[in-house]
Amino acid sequence: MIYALVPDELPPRALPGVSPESSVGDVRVAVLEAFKEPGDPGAVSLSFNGAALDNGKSLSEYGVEPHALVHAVLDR
Amino acid sequence: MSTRPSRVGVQEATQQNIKDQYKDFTRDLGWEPSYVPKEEMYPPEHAEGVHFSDWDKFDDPFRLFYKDYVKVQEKKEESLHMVFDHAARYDYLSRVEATWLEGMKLFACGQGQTEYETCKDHMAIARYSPAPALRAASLYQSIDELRHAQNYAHYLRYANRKLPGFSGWATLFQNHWLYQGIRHCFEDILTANPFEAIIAANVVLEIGFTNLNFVALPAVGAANYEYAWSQLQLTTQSDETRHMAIGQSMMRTLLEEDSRNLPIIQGWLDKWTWRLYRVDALGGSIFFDYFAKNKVMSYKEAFQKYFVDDFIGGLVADLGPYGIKEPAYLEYMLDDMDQLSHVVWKYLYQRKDMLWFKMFQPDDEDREWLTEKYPEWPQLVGRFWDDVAGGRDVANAGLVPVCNLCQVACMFQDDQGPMIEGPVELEGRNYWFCSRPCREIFMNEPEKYKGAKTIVDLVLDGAMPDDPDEFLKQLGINDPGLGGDLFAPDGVNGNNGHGH
Repeated sequence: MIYALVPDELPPRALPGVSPESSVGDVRVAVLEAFKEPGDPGAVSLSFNGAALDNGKSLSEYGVEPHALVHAVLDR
Repeated sequence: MSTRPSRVGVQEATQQNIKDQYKDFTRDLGWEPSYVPKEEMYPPEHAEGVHFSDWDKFDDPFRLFYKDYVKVQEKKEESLHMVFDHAARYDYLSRVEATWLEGMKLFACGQGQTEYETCKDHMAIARYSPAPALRAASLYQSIDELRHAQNYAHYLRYANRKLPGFSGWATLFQNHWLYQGIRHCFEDILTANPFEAIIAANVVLEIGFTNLNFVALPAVGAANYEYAWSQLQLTTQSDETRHMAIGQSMMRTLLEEDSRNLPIIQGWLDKWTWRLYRVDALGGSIFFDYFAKNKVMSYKEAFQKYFVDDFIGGLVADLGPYGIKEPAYLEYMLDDMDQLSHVVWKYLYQRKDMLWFKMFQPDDEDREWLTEKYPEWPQLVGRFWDDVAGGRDVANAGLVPVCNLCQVACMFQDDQGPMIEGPVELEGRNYWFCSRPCREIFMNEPEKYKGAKTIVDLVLDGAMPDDPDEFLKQLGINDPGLGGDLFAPDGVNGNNGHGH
């Protein structure tokens, strides 16, 4: 399972349907759904192991495996 | 003139007699087996590296005869049930604060069952300890723990006749995800060697945490008009004094016997202060800070006084000369204090529809008290409770990473940020840890812990449904009439009408 960790919002939440093959854009949408946050997916900042994730790529291109923790910052 | 032979004084003769009698009744029960080798009867691995030359020299600080034990316990039972009967006559539960009663649904079920688990732990020590005196002492203790469990069953039976939410406690303890950490921890004690189990149960649990649970918490309970339960806690504590002495005596004896025992004992102390802290503080803290409508002291204050000053301070003062130091993870516990009860309360509120007791928002009075006791409270969870008050949907029944050691959700942070560690790969499987202490303890004994699955592991493996309703149904703990919000305006899950 891939989880998203948002600062000040512990524990991390599961991102159902997200896998290493998912695009970063899809992950942004999944994060908003998991945290029940309205808003623009484009405003969600994602990172993994300190590297910022860009929309055009898949999670696996950043080394994300099937069990992973992705960091997210929401535009609240 | 004839000389009279010197005679033994009456007091000396009586003491000698009692000592011999006790030896006959306890230590001399450690016979030499003829039908199996002694190593098979008491396998050496059950001493797990402890150095001791002659187990028969191991002494029990309480030379207690069974008939005397029964007499003392009978008096305690008479006193307790007199209070219970009196309280029942006046329908005392109708006077207990509503918020506290909701907490009792969680506490009485968990405490009663952990008393039974401790009974099992001590029966195992009574069977496997290589020291006859420890076997005798543990047998008495297992009877004590059974008494405590039965008294909790008595309390739950009475409460169940009066109020919803007190039934099915055995099923709840066995099946509910909220108790998984406690179950895991007590099975860890049950499968430990007798000396490690005594450090865990008699030293850390009985000395470290029982004063919090059985002295400080009853004072909070009494302030919320829960008199009979407070008496139940105090009668339980009256046995703990004997249990504490067994633990202290065992540690001192092993330390005096052989200096090679020091790192073994320190290691068990480090491990079990953290293991038991995780389950005990998690549950206990929300009673001081949230379930208590009439608050007496914060959990942070109680923890400092009873655990840090009394237990750790006393232990280091007593055994420091032998080399015993503060537990390795004490700093993590102290760092936890400012957030513990608040993140747990928030976590439970987000899952209130999966619980059998009702949750509630802190009101203005609570907020003021919480902010006074925990100045970081507004920054930590203030906005969350503002959102709740504003009607925002904060429910979260989704999956979260659960610690593969303590079985608690990874929801803790320190001043460096979230304490979550993982995923950690071991032999092709991924593990999560809520903190560095849990990860270190797990990695010290991976063979013991790696096979266990958290509730989330079971869902991800497909062994349990991921739909929350189906999940609870499969565990047999779905009762739509329970859980929810204590002060919900729609009345469906509203105030049960009790309290002042």
